[in-house]
Amino acid sequence: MKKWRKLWVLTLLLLIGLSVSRVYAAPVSCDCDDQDRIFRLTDPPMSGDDVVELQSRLRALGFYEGSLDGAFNEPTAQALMEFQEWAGLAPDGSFGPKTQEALTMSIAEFSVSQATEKPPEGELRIVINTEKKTLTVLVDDEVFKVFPCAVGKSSTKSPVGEWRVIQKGTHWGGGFGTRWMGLNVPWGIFGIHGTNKPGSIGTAASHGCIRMHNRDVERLYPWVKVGTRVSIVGQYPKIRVSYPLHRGQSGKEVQQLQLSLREAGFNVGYTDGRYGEDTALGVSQLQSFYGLKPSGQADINVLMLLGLR
Amino acid sequence: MPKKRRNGTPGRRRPNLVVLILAMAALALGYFAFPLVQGWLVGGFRVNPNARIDPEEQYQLSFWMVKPTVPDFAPWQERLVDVFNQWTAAYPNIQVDISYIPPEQAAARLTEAIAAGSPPDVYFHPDSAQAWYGELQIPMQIYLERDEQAAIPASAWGQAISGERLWSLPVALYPKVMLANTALLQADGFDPAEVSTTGWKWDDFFSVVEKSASGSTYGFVPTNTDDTLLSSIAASFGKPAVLNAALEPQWSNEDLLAMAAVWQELSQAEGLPSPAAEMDAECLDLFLSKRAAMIGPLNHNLAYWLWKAAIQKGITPALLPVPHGAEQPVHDMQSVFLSVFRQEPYRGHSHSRAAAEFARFLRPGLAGLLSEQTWAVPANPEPLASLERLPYDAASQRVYAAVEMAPATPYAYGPEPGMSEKHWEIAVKPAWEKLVNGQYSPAQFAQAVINSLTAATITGP
Repeated sequence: MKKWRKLWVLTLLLLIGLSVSRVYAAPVSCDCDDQDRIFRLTDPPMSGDDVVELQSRLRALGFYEGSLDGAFNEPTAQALMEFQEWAGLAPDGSFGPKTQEALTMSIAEFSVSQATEKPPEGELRIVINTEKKTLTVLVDDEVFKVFPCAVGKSSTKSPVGEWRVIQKGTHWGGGFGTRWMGLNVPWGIFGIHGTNKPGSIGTAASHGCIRMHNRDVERLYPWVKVGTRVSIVGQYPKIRVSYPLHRGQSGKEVQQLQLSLREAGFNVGYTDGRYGEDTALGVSQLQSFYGLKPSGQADINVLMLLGLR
Repeated sequence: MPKKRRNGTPGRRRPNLVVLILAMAALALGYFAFPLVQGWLVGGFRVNPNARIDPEEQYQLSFWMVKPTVPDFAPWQERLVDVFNQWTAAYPNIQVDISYIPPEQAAARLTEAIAAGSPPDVYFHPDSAQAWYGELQIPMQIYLERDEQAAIPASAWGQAISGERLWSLPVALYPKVMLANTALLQADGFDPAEVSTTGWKWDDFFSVVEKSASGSTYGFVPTNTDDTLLSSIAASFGKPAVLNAALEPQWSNEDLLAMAAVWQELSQAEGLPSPAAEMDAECLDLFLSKRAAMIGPLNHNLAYWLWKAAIQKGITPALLPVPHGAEQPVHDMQSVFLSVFRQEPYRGHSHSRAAAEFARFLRPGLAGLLSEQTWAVPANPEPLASLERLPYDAASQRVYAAVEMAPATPYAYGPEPGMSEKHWEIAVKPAWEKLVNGQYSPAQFAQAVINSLTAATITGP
């Protein structure tokens, strides 16, 4: 009798433990934007924006015909296995890193050949608002389209300033998604690109780049030419400039000089962190305004007048 | 026998009356007609200052304003619109078309317009001291009442005349000053307050500089060593322009040697940074970190900025006049002007009257605007009343607004727009740079300026 009682108590405890663990188990639907999930069939099914993204890509490639319901269910897993087989991978139905990369590459090649949306006519430029996490396409200074995006996190902010697209690419893959448009930021490699973390869109999550949904960056890509102006606007912590600056230099200090000159009302062209003739002209105009020698070099006097030193 | 007439000869009284009436009519006709025929009689166009504006007639005037070199023009434009609206309310039949001209285009566009016989009716350049533009300009003096003429400060009047006539209306003056850290100024018998009213000579200045310097402190640091400094030195001798209003050389060899001697003293005196050509490199830092007792010359913008920065750094500042080299004290203050033109073919004397009325109407509004936005000193008898926004103490305000001590001679001359600036660039600036860099001696500098100026004025402009 005691033995049966002990067994009964243990069973009861086991049942309670299992129930608790089930309650506190990680949710199968995850919006964790910093986790790469490996999809697999579960009950209930795994769900989320990333699953929608997967279903969308599989449908674009012709492997999936169901609805974009964001649930990793049987039809989705079946479509994934068919893709894996087509791509020469083990058809295990789980969306791991190798399958992710293969899918990204395939979509890239597919989209380039399928791009049919006509680029807008007129002068196009892009404005990225780091506060609102939006990428706005302007054509002839009129808003043409607004896309959500992800920007740099607080420790790796996106480079506020005025840039140009200097490079375009379709096969970067991985975290760069299906498209890449590099910017001419002098102190690092920054660009606008797709993502394999669609849940991060709308947040400050990147290392400074601008992330877009792959479907959005694929749409934007043919509109943008090398040389397209891109303005990134947002809070810019004022940095002190402790040494004189001159023509030919580039960097954050030069950009701070440009921003300060513009704030003071002097025209410097683009705040792109490059000390060219426009910047020199702005400096000499400031010097003339204060009756100083208009050398065009941002010497100690100029830095003091702008409150940078 | 003829009938004797009573009371003398009344028959002859009638002819006398007729003669009197005819004489009065002739005088009246001459009064109104003479200005019109004077040009034919004596040569040159004469505008009839007595023409009236017909209230039934519609007039169309053109006003060119050169955009000032300021960071933000929007506040200017707002104030100007207020002034123009007041004009329209007062003179609804006189419409004014306003053009804002970029400063880099001003000289070329005005030159072209004058050459084409179609200059604007009224012209204002807030950064130019040129008051005379030649044949198509109308001398504003003919429209001024006596009390208006008396209200223009003598110095501003002197800067606006050419051939003994006032051609443009002085609007405001821009001073240059020195700034002192009163705690660091230590010199026996030196009273900054006294200097503020009497001015001081260069010798006195250098004496104070040497006495105020110590091991870690300079007595003075200049804000520039280029030709901007020379322009202040030239003004300090009461001769701010290379040519006078009659286009005769104003700078003699002795004058040039005296100006060069000031530079030599600056470059060699104890108590100034070195090397001489780069004395200005960190002038603001030196002054604000209390390592220089005086700094200058400062224009109106730098004076304002530096005064406020000095206060923030715990410095007790004082404005001082730029030292002078003339016999009588003279402060470096240059005027800016409103100018009125006629066109060819001539649009009529009443049209010119309308343009002159617009200029006279605009003058106080512009003076107030310049005073508010750029701390210019209005060219009126009581300039201090308009300078309430200045942060300076009373003695410093007196230095800043000492209009009566400005040179009564033009800072710029014409007739071609920008002519004096061109001469300066060609004949003066290169020679000064060589003096500062040590390539020229004072004698070589003087000779180079004279030779270059002679060549520039002969081959002109």
